[in-house]
Amino acid sequence: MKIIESIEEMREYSQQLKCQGKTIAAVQTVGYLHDGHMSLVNIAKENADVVVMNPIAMTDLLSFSTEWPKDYKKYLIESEAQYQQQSLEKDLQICKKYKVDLFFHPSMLDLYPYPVQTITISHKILNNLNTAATAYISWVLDVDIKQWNSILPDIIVVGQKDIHQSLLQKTMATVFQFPIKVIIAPTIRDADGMALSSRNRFLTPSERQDATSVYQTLHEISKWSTYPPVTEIKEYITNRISQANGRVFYIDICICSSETLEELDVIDKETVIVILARFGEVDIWDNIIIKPQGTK
Amino acid sequence: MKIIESIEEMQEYSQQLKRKGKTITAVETSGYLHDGHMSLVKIAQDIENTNIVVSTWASSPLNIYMEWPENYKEILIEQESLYIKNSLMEDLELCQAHDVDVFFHPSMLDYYQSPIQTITVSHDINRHLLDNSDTFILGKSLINTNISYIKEWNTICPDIVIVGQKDIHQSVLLKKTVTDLNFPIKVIIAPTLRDSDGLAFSSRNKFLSDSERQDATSVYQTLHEVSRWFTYPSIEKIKEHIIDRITNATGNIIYIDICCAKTLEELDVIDKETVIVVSTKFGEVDVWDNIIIDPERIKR
Repeated sequence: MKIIESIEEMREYSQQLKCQGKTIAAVQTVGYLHDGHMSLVNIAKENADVVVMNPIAMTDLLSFSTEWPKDYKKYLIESEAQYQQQSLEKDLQICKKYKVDLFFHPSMLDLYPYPVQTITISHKILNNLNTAATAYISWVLDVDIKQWNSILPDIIVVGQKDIHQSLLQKTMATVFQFPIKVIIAPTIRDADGMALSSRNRFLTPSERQDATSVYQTLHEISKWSTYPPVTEIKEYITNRISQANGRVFYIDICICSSETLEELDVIDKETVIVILARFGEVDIWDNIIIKPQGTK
Repeated sequence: MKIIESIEEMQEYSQQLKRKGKTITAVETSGYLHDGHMSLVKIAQDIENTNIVVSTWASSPLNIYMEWPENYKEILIEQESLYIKNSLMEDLELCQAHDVDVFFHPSMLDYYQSPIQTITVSHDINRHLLDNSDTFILGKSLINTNISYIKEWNTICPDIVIVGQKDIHQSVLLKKTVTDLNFPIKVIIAPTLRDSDGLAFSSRNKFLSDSERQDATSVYQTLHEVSRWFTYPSIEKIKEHIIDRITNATGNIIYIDICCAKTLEELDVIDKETVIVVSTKFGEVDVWDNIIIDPERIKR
């Protein structure tokens, strides 16, 4: 596995690969890799000649903030140090194991010589998310373009797990006409239905048992033959998860389309239900895409 | 000269050129080409081993709208047929005569397919334009044009983009977009080409009557004169002076923006490289121009 740390070197290498007629698939993550990410790698391998893993580990303070603090450089250096200490070695090993071809890991200060907040998401569309979540997704989209312009991928693979983000990544590729195909990969689950997440390890055994209620509820709803109004569906979900000791932070039921994430009143087209709930101290989020009967 | 009408074909052709080790220089226009555009092409001709691509839809007739209108398809089709009728042949001849390698002219509807407004770009340096009612539409259209340019970059894949100082706000924003988002592109800002009477080249100049044209030269005359001053009063005073001069020549002022030439930041006094942008109307015709003032010149 080749490791590249410089943006210019990455670009040159990609250009060389292209000259040889090879296609490139990029898997962009925030580091701290687990088997769920590796399912994206497998899909990338099936669809391109060369797979690039690109972890960008950024501190929450910067990625969730609407304005970067003056001493942002300190936080960039901290994010990087923390990542190197806690996860870099493991990430490299798991990537080698899954035969990733190239690990692209630029320094945070190279990536952000100055604060950038250029890509903006219409608040009208994301008004059901809080400001921090919108800031986070905008951050991801800014980083994405920086990465796309460095890796020059033909394909990028993103996870359904972060569905809002993935749909917006797809939209962004369309809006800006990037010559990139965006593949949204299904969520990988444990045998009990729990979506894989680096946070799951913080759950106690009984919390974990309770947390399976999230997927169970979603799965159950996806099998309904008719749908009541969205408010009733939300009530139903809140009840089910509260009974399992979970605290529901938000439920978003919106059109599953890469062009709009509008909230719905009734389910009459392909829809995604997103749940963010907390069990003990751990945030669990999951989503399911449902196609009501009689829709395309 | 090759004429490419499909987005995919353009992307494919650019990749072919890159595989051969060639670079690509793009001159992105809104069609209706004139010598001003060709002065950008001439700069491209001096770059070694490059292929010159001229494009025609770098800004769309929809760019002035806050939200795309319902009948956006009709607007696009109408503008496209107007362009084909009034200018396409002349544009092709002009490009051919200037050794342009590729004329990129996709169908408007292919280029502006759907009114997706989920995602946009924003620049702090554009905020003062959006915050001012006189310049709000300019600020908004700059953002839309910015997106159109990004689309073109992802289609033409240029190594170098040549833009004109004529559209100084746009040129500064494009440069910022390139560095913000790591586009592998070098942006060259080319000086404004002027007629012997000082009037900046524009496809709209042909609509001026003889006397309007005479009046319109007041825009550059005023800017040029201001650029020669030895000391600068407050921004307000400078604006007043410009308004007086142009109004005396029967021009209508749409807006005057005086800001930092590098960052577009608003200024209170002229203490760094500054650009004065003037947008006016003579008769029914928009005339705009700008000049860069270097206060260091006075010290030298």
